[in-house]
Amino acid sequence: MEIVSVINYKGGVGKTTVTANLAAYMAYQGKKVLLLDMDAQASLTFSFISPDFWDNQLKNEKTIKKWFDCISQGTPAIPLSQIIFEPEIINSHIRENGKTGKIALIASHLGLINVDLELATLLGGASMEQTKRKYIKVHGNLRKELKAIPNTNYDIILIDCPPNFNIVTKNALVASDQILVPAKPDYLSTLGIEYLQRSVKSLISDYNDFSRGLEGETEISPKILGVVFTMIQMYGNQPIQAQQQYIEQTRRLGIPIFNEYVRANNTIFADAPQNGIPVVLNSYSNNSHSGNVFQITEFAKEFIKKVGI
Amino acid sequence: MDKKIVIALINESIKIQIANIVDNDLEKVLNGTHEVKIRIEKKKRKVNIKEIISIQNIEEISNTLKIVNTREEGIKYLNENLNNKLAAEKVARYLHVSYLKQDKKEYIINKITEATIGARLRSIAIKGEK
Repeated sequence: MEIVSVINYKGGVGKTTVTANLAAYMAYQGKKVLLLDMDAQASLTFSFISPDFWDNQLKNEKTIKKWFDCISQGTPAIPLSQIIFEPEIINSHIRENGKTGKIALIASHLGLINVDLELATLLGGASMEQTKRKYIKVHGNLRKELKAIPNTNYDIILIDCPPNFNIVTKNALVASDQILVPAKPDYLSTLGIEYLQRSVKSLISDYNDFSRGLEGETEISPKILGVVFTMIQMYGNQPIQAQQQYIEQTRRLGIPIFNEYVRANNTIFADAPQNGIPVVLNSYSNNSHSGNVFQITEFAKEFIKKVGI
Repeated sequence: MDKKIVIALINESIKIQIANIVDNDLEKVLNGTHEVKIRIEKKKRKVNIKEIISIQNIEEISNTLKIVNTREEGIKYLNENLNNKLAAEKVARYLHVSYLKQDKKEYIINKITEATIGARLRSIAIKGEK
């Protein structure tokens, strides 16, 4: 079971679209996928269920906030299995097509944004030993919980991270084996990739320094799997020159990048979340639409190969 | 005059012109702010780009840009090695640096510098590797 975080510092680069489509494709290929929505905007959650369903059925008891609340309040954490939910529309679609995969989801909560402040109050200590223990406890909790899930339950866990580097995000990265970075090929998004690299390096170093010598703790080593470029405008089977420039620039800096892109297409991506089925599972008669689906499918295949599931 | 030959020549010429349209101009046409027109002009003297700058030179320039440490040095080096706009355009295309047809040589050189040396310096600064 691989754990992959999907993150970029820059917002609006298509993280959720990539995560939802990857999950749907993999489930359609027979994989068991667990999605963990750690972004307080809850966009991934609302890509599979409606906000009113979330409000009535999940909000109070079945979100990742509920689990983090236990941590910040110092009460025993509820098992993650209690907050895992299987969205009906997508799973019915998969079953109706005779496939054996599935998508499970740990929903986000709009109040997750405040959890960070509460977690921050748990940091610090009277001695270095105590400070280290608290740091590892606050940042390593999710890792312990996810590692405790039996390998046979899921083939992959995808974590949709918020565009920041707070404690909630750090929990996701500490728990991850690999990190996928969606980015738009433009100036600010590509700067975000490098800032992320720096932050991840620093997090690994801090976590491993603090965990060394603590009983029962092991080191972490999440790897940057690669950058997938999103919102690509094509011209003659190639990204337009203005975007190609930033793709090549990233390649020259030695950052691993995926060969396949996710194309821009407002028509098909705009309302897909409302339908509960990501575009990758739809077939379109329009050439440009089916071209988009083809490209995102090719990316998903490349992802599966790189992740090694 | 054989009309078939003339039409074939015009067809060929249109194909070449269409292939040379840059993204920026295509967008203008798509937006409806500009239109495509056909105009017959006297032929200009053909400039052989191969003579202006060879692929070996371009590779050498590209490799040099990987080791130059400041933007100023890079601009100076490019100005010394790229004699005209066509040479600058050729290097820009090799390095996938976008430019507009109306850009001057100095501007293209700046863009090449930013996409190579500038990108490296930004990366070092952001990663705190100085």
